[in-house]
Amino acid sequence: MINRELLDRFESIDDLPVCEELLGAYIEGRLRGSELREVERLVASDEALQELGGSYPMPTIFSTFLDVFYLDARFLPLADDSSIVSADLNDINLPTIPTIEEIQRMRFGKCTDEKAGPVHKFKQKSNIGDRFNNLT
Amino acid sequence: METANLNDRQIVQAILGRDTEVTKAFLYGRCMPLFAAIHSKYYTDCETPVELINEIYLYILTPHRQTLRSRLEDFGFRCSLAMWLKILTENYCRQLFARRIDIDENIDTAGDRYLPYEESLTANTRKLDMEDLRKILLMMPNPRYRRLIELRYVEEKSNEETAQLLGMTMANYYNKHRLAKAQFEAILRKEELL
Repeated sequence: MINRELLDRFESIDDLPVCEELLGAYIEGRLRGSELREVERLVASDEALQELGGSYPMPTIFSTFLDVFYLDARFLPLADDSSIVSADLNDINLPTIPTIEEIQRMRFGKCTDEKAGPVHKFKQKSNIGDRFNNLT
Repeated sequence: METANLNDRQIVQAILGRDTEVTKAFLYGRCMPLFAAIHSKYYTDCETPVELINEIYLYILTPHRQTLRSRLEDFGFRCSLAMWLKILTENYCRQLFARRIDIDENIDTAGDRYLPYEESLTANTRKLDMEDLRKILLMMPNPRYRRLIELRYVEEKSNEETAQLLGMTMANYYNKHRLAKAQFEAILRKEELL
């Protein structure tokens, strides 16, 4: 289950100069023309993008277990269906995805001016309640 | 559950539709090697690759508080789903965690770009006496890779013959050959025989 700390972590991730999808398309050779040139230019001038597009070896402990020795940037090592042990997958419990309301409730717990959405809603509710009370 | 027959759109739909079977088979099964590689590249606070996948699963499905849409909903299929996950996960880890530079860059299991040419591997294999060679081969954890190396470098069959004997297509053979060679070389280096 997600918690406030994890939510903060998700929101702390900065966008890349080129979105993940476009960088992926670039690495896979799917871009053409001006889009290709623009991404090329950005990749050439950005160390993070170059690193994300790079390849690297896998440590022995994982390569032995997974039969995969090298994470190639263009040809990603995916496990064969035959090598996936369903019994292992059965042991996995997928985390629960929070609803918008749950996220807002988490935000509400520690609200700042910048994150004023839920507070504003709450105040509106209170005002309505006050008016109703004043009528009596 | 087989996900190899599903295309990326079907997989995305299944994950968004909370199809646990497809989600598990794809993220925790098929994509496990790439998550494991990223997990091993960074000092994450996830003890296992599965924990990292759990976190990424939440990351791609949690609605953004402003757009109210999840990252996966906004995926537009301009690249493959696996590639998108790889870049997204690596960017996530890169921004949050330190990289294990020394471990990964000096590890002995390099890919083709670090390996000597095939001829030099044959030459190195020839240098070993049969007893050493047998020991090295037995140390290879994957019996299929072991057999591939035996056929190709000990019995010195051609690539085509080896593929045929192993019942592989040539495309599959070249992929497995690279992995087997890396595994074999890693052990040779570990035993200081290379």
